[in-house]
Amino acid sequence: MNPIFVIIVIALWLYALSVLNRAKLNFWRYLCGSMGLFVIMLVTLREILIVPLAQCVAAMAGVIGNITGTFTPYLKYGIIFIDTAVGSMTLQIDLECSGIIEIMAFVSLLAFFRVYTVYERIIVGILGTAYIMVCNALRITLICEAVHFFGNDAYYVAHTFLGRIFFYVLTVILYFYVFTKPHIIQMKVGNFSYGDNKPSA
Amino acid sequence: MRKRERFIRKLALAVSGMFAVCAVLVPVQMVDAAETAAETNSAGTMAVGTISEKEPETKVADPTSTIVIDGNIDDWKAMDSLKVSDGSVKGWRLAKSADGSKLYFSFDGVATSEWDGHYMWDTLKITFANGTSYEVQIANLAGGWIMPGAEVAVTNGASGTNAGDYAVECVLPMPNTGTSVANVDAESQAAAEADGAYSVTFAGTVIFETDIPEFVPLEEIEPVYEGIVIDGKYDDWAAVSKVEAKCPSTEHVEECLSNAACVFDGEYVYIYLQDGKDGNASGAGVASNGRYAITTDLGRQLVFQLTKANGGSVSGVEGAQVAYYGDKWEIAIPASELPMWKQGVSFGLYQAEPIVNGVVNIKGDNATGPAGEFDGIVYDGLYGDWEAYPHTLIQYATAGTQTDEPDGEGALYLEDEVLYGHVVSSMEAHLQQKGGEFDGAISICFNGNREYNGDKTWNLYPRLVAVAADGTIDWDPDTENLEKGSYEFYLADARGEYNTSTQTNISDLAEHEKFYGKMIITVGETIDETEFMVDLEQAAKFLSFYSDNEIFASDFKMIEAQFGEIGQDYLAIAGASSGPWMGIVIAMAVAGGAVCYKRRRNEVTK
Repeated sequence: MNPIFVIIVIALWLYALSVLNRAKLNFWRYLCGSMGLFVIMLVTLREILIVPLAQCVAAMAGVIGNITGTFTPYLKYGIIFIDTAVGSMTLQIDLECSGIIEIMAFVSLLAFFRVYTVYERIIVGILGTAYIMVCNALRITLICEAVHFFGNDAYYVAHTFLGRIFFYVLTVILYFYVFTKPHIIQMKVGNFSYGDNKPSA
Repeated sequence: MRKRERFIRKLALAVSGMFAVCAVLVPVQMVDAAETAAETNSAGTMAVGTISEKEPETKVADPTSTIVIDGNIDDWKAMDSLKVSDGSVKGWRLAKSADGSKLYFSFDGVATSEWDGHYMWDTLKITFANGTSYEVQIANLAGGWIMPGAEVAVTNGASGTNAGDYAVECVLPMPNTGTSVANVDAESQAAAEADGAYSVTFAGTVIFETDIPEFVPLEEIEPVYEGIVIDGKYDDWAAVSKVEAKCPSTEHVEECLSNAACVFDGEYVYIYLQDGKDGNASGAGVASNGRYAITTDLGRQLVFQLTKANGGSVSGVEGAQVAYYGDKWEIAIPASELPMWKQGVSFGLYQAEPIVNGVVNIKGDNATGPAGEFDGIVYDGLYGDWEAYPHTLIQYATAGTQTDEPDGEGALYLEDEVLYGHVVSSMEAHLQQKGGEFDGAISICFNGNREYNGDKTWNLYPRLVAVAADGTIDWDPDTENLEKGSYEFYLADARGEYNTSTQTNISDLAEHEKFYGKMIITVGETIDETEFMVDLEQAAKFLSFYSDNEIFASDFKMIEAQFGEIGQDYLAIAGASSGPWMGIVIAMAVAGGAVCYKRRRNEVTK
């Protein structure tokens, strides 16, 4: 993508943010800010981050693979080689497998989330990114172990259902504790309680 | 200040309380320990860590107390053999207990088979100072009736008809005139036993009681690895940890194998195998053919076969060495014969789970193999870029193969909507086809759907066509019995409705009919290889033309390829998309939904 075009887009985005900030349209500021940041990161950082992230995910999943001897990571190109009883399969960690989109979405949403101070956003961002990477590695490990033990035929179920549901649940938990709960408590929308229990102080 | 004082007071109380508890409990423990010691002392044993009420005795331990009569003469290893004058045994040893009441005796030699028991008839002669003597055979000693108090233990290390070491170990009460054997009269017997002096005659050598060397117990030393020598002696394996090995055949799962070990020093892969109870490593495997494989970390396999005749032999690897003695094998496979490896190898039966995994090169200066780093694939008919990429075994012959080569190996790689593949074979039966082995029964299946699709709406079934430089299509080129060299073909689809009469040039092909791939076949002396590439977007166009729905290259989540002439196994490659967009939407919906719910509830409450 043309760098000048990117710079222009960034400039326009910053201008829009400043306008919305001065107009105290907080919701629209948040929406514009997070979506804009997400798009800009996806366009500018994707190519830079995709390979290191894929290698990182392959390496993390590979720790379990090396311990159990069920699959082997080949880090340079983010490849995992899975031995099965009747053959083998190569798993490629590409854009949609590396977790880069989820990380960028999380960071974008967090960057303009005023419930936290700037310092808190940085810390939560780092921890949340690490959490997503670990969850993704666990998801891939789950797929690899399923393929190893049940053969290539298990790939579809493991990848499409088991792995994704596992990852979605963990992502929802992250979003709940990072966004929902602090928002409800700190913005005094209401006290946070479960069912008929008395609200927490 | 008050807070601090209160804190300090509380801390002091807590520490005092702890001391008080200790002061009460520790003496109680000590009393219990003394009582325990008293009980155990009276029983004749001493528990470690208890306090004895008796004064310790200064007593020199009898070194022969370490001898265990179990047929394992490792406890005699620190003793040199006594002279063997008649060549009947490999070695023999004597030891006396400190009080002279027991005579320990062991000898070892070679048993020609597991049924060979000739050593049971070897004779031991005891001669007393007054001339009283007797001879007794080991078999009779073992009976127990001829010399009460004597113990004998025997082991035979031969396996089937394969020779091995035997060992005999016994203890005789002394002085014992063996009255049942010698028919010694009571007077001579009393005189002999009163004197006590005797000599022992065995293996043609006479040893007097006073010349019996003092027994030196074996010192427990941690074995150190000092390299392996293929000589039929297995002491050099003492420092190498063994793993349990089981035959995958349900008919003889416990019989063929018991233990295995593997060491790799960059020059050789050393393998240790121990036969099972009633079988032999050369008969292991689901096909009972003793075929084993060394699998590199890149999935490449080296197959070899063990046979037990004539002290063991190995076929299928040039320069391999083997020794088979007793029930143990040791094999050395030259590293130069290994297929591509990077970090290490695994060892096991052919087409079975490896027995020993993750064996790395123990020599640091040659730590990694020749495979180098994988650096992506370039479709160019040069196969070096595939060397560091993991491959999958393709085979027809199963574990019961009659050859020492697998049918073939292959791999798939995906980049930018292009599928690359590599298949290689060095099996003689395939080499005779001279390229034809890569032309038949090729299937490329998507998303696990392996059923043949005649509708042209899914999967690909390539057929090879040749295209000249000017675009002229040869729809039926020669693809087998090719001379040595490299040949490039294009991939059309076997189901395609091409008009071979009118479509003679690639420019005559419709958009969906354009060939979706290329293949280079290289015919060699000892190896045939092929490299191919498939443009998945073009393939999707071909399938979309015949399908009711538009098909995209991104729809191909898992791709499998089969080369039916080489084997039935599928090469497979897949992505692992996390479905990020859906995941983000779900997470935001849940997070945002909870906030909205709370807002609404709050408003209702107000």
